Order: sequence, then C-alpha cells, then structure tokens
Amino acid sequence: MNEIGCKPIEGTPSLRSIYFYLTEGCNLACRHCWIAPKFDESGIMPAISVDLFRKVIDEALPLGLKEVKLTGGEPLMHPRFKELLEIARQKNLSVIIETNGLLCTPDVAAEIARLPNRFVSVSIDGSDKATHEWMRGVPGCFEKAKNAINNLVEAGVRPQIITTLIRRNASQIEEIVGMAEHLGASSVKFNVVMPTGRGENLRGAAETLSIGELIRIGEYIDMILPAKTKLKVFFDSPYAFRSLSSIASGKGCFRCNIFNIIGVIASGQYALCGIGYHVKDLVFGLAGTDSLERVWKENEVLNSIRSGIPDRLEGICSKCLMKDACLGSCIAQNFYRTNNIWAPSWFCDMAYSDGLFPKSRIR
Amino acid sequence: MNKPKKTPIQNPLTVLRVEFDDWAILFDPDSAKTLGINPTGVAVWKLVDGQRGIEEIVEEIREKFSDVSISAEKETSDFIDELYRNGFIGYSLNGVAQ
Repeated sequence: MNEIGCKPIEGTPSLRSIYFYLTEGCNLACRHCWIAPKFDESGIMPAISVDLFRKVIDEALPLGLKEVKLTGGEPLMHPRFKELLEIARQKNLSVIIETNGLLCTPDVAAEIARLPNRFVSVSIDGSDKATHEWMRGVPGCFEKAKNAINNLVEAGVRPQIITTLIRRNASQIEEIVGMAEHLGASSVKFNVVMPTGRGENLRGAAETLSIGELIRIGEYIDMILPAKTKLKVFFDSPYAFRSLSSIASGKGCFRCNIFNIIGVIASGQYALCGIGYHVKDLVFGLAGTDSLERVWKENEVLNSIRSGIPDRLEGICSKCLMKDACLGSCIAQNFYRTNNIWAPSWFCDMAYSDGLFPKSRIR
Repeated sequence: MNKPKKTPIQNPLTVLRVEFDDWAILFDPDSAKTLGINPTGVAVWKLVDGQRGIEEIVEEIREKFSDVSISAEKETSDFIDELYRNGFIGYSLNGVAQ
C-alpha cells in the first residue's frame, strides 16, 4: 500500500549522481542512439581527461555525491578507463557502467569486479547476429557483446542486458531472455527508442513500434513474462503504463532522478545529461573552470526544474495521477521535442492522443 | 456508561479506481493526492463505512482471505492511519461523522 509520489524539495537537493559521457566517439554506429556520437574505431576522438574526472568528483563529494555513471559514446574506449575506476573506488563511489561490450576483455572485467558497488549493463539488440548487427552497424559485434557478458560473469559480475525494442526484434523477446539466462546475466531491460538523435531517424523510417504495440508489449513484459523466467525483466515505460503491483514492488521502477544528477559530456561541459550534445540551453558551464557548487546551486534551469516539476508539467502529464512519481518521465527528451521544459512525455502524449492512456490514471 | 465507539469512515470525496489486477488507486480529486493499494487494501477500504471498528474489519478480512498474516491487525491499523493522514478517511463517533 504505497503512496505514489515524492516529497517536496526543500533547498538545494544533494548531487547524488554524475553521468560522465566519457568519450565523444563510439566504436559502433547504432541506428537508435539518442546521443549519436561520431563513429570512431581508433579511439582518437576527445575524451574526458583523468584530471578533470578527478576534479569534478572532488567538487561533487561535498555536495553529496554517491555514484557515478560511466557512459558514452562508449566508456570502455576511454584510453585510461581503469584509472577512472580506481578513482571511483578510492572515493568509495558506486559505479554504473553502460557499455556495448566490445572492449570488455577478461582484464577489464576483472577491474570492474574489483569495485565494491557496481552495476554493469551490456546492450544486445537481438537474439541473433543479423538483428543485433543490423541495429548496431558493425559486423562482428554480436559475438563480442556475448563474450563481454561471459567475461563479466567469469569475473563475478552479472550484468544486465539492455535491449531496445524495434519492429524487427519485437518477436525475439523470449529468445533474448533465454540468451540472457544462458549467458548468466542478472536481468533484462527492454527500452523504447527515444525520438532523439538517430532514434528520430529510425522512427521516421517506420522501424519503430507504434505506441499501441509498445503498450501491449509492456503489459506482456510486466505481467506474463516474469512467470517464464527466473531473471528480472523490465520494460522502461512511463509510470502510467506500469501495473501498481510492479511499482509497489520496486520492480523496474526506473525513474530519472532528475533532482539529484548532473551530466558531464565529453567536451567537458556540465549539462542536464547527454542531452547537452543536442540542446545548448541545457548546457550549464565548463567543468574544471566553473565551480560545480555554483552551477549546482545557482543554475537557473536546474532551479526552475526543482521548483516546477511536477506541478508545472503540461498536457497529459498535468492530469496524470502518477506525475508525482514519474516527474514527466524524461524532461530532457520533452525539452528536445518541444523547446519547453514543462512539456509532457512524448510517449504519454501520443498514447493520450490515440485514446490509449489508462483512464484509471487520469485525474 | 458505554465508551463512545470511534470508527473510520470514508471521505465521500475520495475516488477508488480498481484496475485490471485488482490493485487500485485512491485519490482526492481536489488535491490529486494519490495512493496505490493492493487487493487487501481494497477490501479494507470497502469495509471502512463508519460502522465497523478496526477489529471488526480485520475479522471480516480474515474470513475473506485465506492467507492473512498474524500481524493483520497492526497492518490494518497502520493502513487506516495512512488513509487518515492522507485525508482519504475521517472518523465517526457512535455513527456520527466527526
């Protein structure tokens, strides 16, 4: 019997997590990537320096930092990745790593395993080579991703597999879960293509699923699939589309902790998150030069979000009974789409327009 | 002289929406305060009628569900408190709403 909501923010919230978009390049060319980094097999593209990484963390610790997320681009392409892990370990930070797995050798996996608090996800977008590599754009990456999971499991880290659902892999859900079980993964999370970056093109090319199809798949993953596997399975949809039982259990309740995070993109700029690559209004300063404390406490956009979310959300989000918990789902994406920080979630907006928004969740 | 009987009673403005899996949302249309409740919570809510006390509610829940825990009275009491804190219920004294 859980209250659905969040407590009002009093004063400046703690900065619990920093998302480091470590590299400007990526060794894959994924059709759905919302960041859309430049393709870079050689690792010569800019990356956040070790000194800057350390300096940002040192500035963030007094503000409440507990966790860093290492993403990209492709974080394992960072030329001094192991040093970054060591810094996080010395500072007693939890570490989340989002990787495509290509560079996750036994040696790297062992370094990750040394972290006392870590969570690793490896992206696999199909149960077979053809589907995964169509999505990811580089031949040979399917076997390498599976090898990465093997290496992590052997080192004692059971990663999560993340699959972005599109039309051509939607029929492979059970096979992907079976593969995850076989490989020793801990869970599988199914994502929706965000209409941002290359994801926008993928939607335009009619490769993505309709809102109606996504809602039905979400119900299947939420209610039926758990009985068929020992793994945890999640579907990353807005709160309004999740059953109350799954919300109450905490199962798959992903929420952007927008009040407690900041991003550092590969150019060394502070941003709301990776959206800073696309939306200059959501870039807040230069790490290492501008004081993080000042950015965190005084930036107008951050303060506006703190005071306005969820009460100022518009459209269907303003009428949704889940808005105190959901917080508009993804404010960065909402802004990208509309240039309005209070705009509703695109997913919920489309579902509402199509008459598919759950009536029991509307005020 | 009998001790006055204080019993929980639903706030008539509170809306209950039962969903496909028998979980439900309670909400106040004015404040949009929202609470998700499980099927047992729904059963308790339906018994909050200003006539039954907590002991009577628990007794009926035990009759209705086979796997009621031994701490059901405490859990129900906590749930009723939560409903009261959120303004979803009030109390009546000897059948008169307070």
